[in-house]
Amino acid sequence: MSAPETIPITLTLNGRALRASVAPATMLADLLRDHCGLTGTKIGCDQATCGACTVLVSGAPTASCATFAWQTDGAAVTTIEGLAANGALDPVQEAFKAKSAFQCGYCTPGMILAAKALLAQHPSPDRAAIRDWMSANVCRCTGYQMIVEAVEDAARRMREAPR
Amino acid sequence: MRSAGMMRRVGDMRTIYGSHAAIAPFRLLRPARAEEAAAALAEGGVCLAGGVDLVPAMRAGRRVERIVWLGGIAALKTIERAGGALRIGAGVTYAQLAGDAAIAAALPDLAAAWRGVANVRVRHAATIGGNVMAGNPQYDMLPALMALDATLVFLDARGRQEAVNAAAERWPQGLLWSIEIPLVAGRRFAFERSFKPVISLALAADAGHARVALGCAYERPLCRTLAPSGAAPEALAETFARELPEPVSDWIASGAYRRKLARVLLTRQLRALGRP
Repeated sequence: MSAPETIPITLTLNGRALRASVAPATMLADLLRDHCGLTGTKIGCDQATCGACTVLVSGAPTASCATFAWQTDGAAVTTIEGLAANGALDPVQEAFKAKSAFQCGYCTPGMILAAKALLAQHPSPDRAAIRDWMSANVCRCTGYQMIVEAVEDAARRMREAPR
Repeated sequence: MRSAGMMRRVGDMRTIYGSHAAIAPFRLLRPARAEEAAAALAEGGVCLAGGVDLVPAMRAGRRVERIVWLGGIAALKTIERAGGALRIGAGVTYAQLAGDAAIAAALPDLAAAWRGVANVRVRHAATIGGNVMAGNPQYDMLPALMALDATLVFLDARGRQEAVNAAAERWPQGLLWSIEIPLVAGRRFAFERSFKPVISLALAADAGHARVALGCAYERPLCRTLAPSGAAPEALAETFARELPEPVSDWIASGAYRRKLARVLLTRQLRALGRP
């Protein structure tokens, strides 16, 4: 193979335009954490299984440890750093806080972004839908009951005070 | 691209382990047209759509010189009713399949089955074509398509289309372009996945016919048509299971156990669909 190939990409990251040049094998998680300094995105299993690295790509919950950075060329990417606005937490973040839906916190960014995606597609999910969606993310502290309650609480907050 | 005869072995777990940092450098092609993608495949490129199958394999050490990304080809992502069939682009994701109004109207049992496949991240990334072409006998889409008597349409480097039944022994070379599922009045579909990875069973049945496909039990999914008969579900399933070739024996289960489950699951699903 000759000179290392790099690919110019442009994406909207947390509402701002980002131009970057990435090697084909660069993962989105590495672009976010190492290039952009957005370390709120966690790498847990590094197998696209645990959900800690979940970010939103054009609204879809996406494993950033298994998505090449260039796959987000032209897309809108949202990380946990992109949720709070004007000094106010997002309703999902508020709900996780109110329900004590985290212990060590490592899974929390991915959990919150998974919940954001769920509530964008289903503003009033039932428990079965919440469990189906959130079961894609693993909490090793096993705080699942509070997480389910937090998603229900977030749905209520977002219905009552739409942003 | 793999041919149908080059399936991965049942129970092959090599692709589960490895870090993304271990992925070897590769070249990237991002065609905008399907014909360009087919030409790139003919020259040795490897397709990537959702990456659900290929990326874990690359973590585990599979070296790919050139990736042909299909995500930029809009024509692969469409779903339409065409005559008496539903035409689904190979790049349609599971989430699209589970949520599409045309599929929900024409094949509600298929849409419902796909709402329960994998997790929500996988459902938003994984494509139907990727699942079929991965050639993994544990995967779900090919048994479902075989039972539904679907046709796979491939595109070669010159843009010519060639169609083949999903249950055919050999498939054409080229890019999987679309999947056409015939719409048959009164046909019901059931997909039993509760015994994976031992076995999976897809069943499509109408008043006169039933087609059954088994996943996880052979080097590639196996499909059989049940002859019209007035026999009870138990008797039909007994005959079906007895006449099966010997299923794979591996660390997951013995062939004898898989054969027994084929009988049990077919009985259960024939009863559930209310078809003898």
